Amino acid sequence: VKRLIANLTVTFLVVTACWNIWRYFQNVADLLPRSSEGIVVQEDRYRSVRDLLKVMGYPKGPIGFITNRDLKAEPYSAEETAQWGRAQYVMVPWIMIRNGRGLDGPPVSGDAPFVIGDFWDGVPAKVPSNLVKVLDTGQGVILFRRTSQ
Amino acid sequence: VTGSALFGLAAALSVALLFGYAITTTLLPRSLPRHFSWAFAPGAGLGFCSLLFFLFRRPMFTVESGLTVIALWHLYRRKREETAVEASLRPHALGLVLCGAIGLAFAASALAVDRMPHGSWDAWAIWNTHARFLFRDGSDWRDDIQYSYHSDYPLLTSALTARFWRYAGQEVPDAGALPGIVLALSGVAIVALTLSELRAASTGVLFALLLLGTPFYLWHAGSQYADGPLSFFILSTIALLCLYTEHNSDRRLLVLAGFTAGCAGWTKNEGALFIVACCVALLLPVGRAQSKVVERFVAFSAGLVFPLATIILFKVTIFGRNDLIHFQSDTIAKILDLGRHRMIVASYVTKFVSFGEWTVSPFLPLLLLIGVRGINRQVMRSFGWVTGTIVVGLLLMGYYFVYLVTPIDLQVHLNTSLDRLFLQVWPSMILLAGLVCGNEAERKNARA
Repeated sequence: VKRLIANLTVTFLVVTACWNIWRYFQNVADLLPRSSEGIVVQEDRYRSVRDLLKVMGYPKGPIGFITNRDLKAEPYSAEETAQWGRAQYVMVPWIMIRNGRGLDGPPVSGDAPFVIGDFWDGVPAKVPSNLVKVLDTGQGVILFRRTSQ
Repeated sequence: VTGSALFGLAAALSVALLFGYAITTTLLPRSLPRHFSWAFAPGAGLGFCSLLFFLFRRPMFTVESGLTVIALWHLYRRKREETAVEASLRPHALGLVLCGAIGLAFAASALAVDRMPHGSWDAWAIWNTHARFLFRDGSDWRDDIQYSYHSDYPLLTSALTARFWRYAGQEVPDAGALPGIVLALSGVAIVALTLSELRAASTGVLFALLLLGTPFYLWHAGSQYADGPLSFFILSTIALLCLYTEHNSDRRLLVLAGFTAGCAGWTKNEGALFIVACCVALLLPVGRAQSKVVERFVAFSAGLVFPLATIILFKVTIFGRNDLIHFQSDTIAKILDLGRHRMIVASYVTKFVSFGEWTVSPFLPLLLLIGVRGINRQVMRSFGWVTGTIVVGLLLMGYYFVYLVTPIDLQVHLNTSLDRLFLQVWPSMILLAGLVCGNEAERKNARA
């Protein structure tokens, strides 16, 4: 009887393992297609900004990061922070700074010559006067040059 | 992805496997079947290449080319001297099921990577951001990486991803998942082979299927997090300790165990705790058999020294701050807070019960199987099993303490990380359960 129970249990475990792998496969197949994945989309939104910065002779260094919340002087929500993190990922090796700091680490000294506005929730009607638009990607990402005004 | 990039990725993987195979054939005794060399080779090779990439970033191709020649010459010489008897491949019905399951698991992982080429949250926010600094930022990466999340995290997975990109000549985001998938499947092979060698082929295949049939394990094969690779290195170290005890007391096994433990430390900060746990567990019986303990510890340290020196070099030269230490406050008050203890214990229980993301949980039938087959008390007293269990226990206790004093909101910290910490020890727990399952008579019958 013990042997029978052991064999049945082994059979059950094998079937269970295979079923779990099959269900996992099905769950993965239900994921969004690659072209809709968040970071893939973000890469597309920022690509032309990266290319232009290289052409303009600024292949690395600090870059300001602003969103609509910054323009309204409101604190960041979790979504803004996530967007900042995504922007940093796609923009490496540039350092995306906000209020003089990167995502982590010590303060970044001096003003960044360029600022990226990520207005995924709507392009604002007005931006600070010291920001001159250099490139509007048409996807809610705008590259500004900071002026001394 | 261009054809030349694919060729580059294949070359990167092949070179890593060559190094790994050269290391494992040298350090594994010839009495072990050759399959073991292949099972441990990806981990040893990828770990070694990651260390090389950090130490020799620019002349990486020169260094790897030179080492490739040396490895090929070494393997050619060994082949000529080879006298070891080839182990016959014993076909087993369950083995065929395992092969099919591996194929399906690989297809599922590849599909997951295709859908999320940059990986899940921590993958792009931490590991792949670091890989991009290594690949894109020239010599300035050491200064700039500190502005990314968790710049103090070790670089095994990030360096491997950057190395793959160097070989490919371009950034192929999906390549970041290659080490995770290879190591996850190697982990399954290690469980199968170790249990087949030390117990019975059917036990090996069954427990390997149990590991492979854990959806959470499969997810982290391709998620590009570092928890999957870390679980591989923890498993490898414990498997090698068990082989040393039960198969062959060749100290080279301990040298390889030291190297895989070091690679664990080079993968995640939790790996440093694992190294400490291994050292403590190895030194514990010092009062009873001092010379034996010293012998073992010296062999283990010999394998550990190269990765450990690299970790120290990284920690000294990269000034990334550790959040858990930097923001630490009210430590004593937190330790004495019973509410925190209750919350952690409750999370340990609930997360362990819900662990795995199984459609059908194998826990109860597994317990039933162990109950029917019995527990081998002799194994429970063996050095390898006891050491492995102590190491896993110390790790779980260490994680408990980190939660206790964490400066992050405790519930948030538990919710976002505890299941991954369980994942790190899950393959080892499966191996240890497989080793202890079945009495001595069954073991002899099965092997006969």
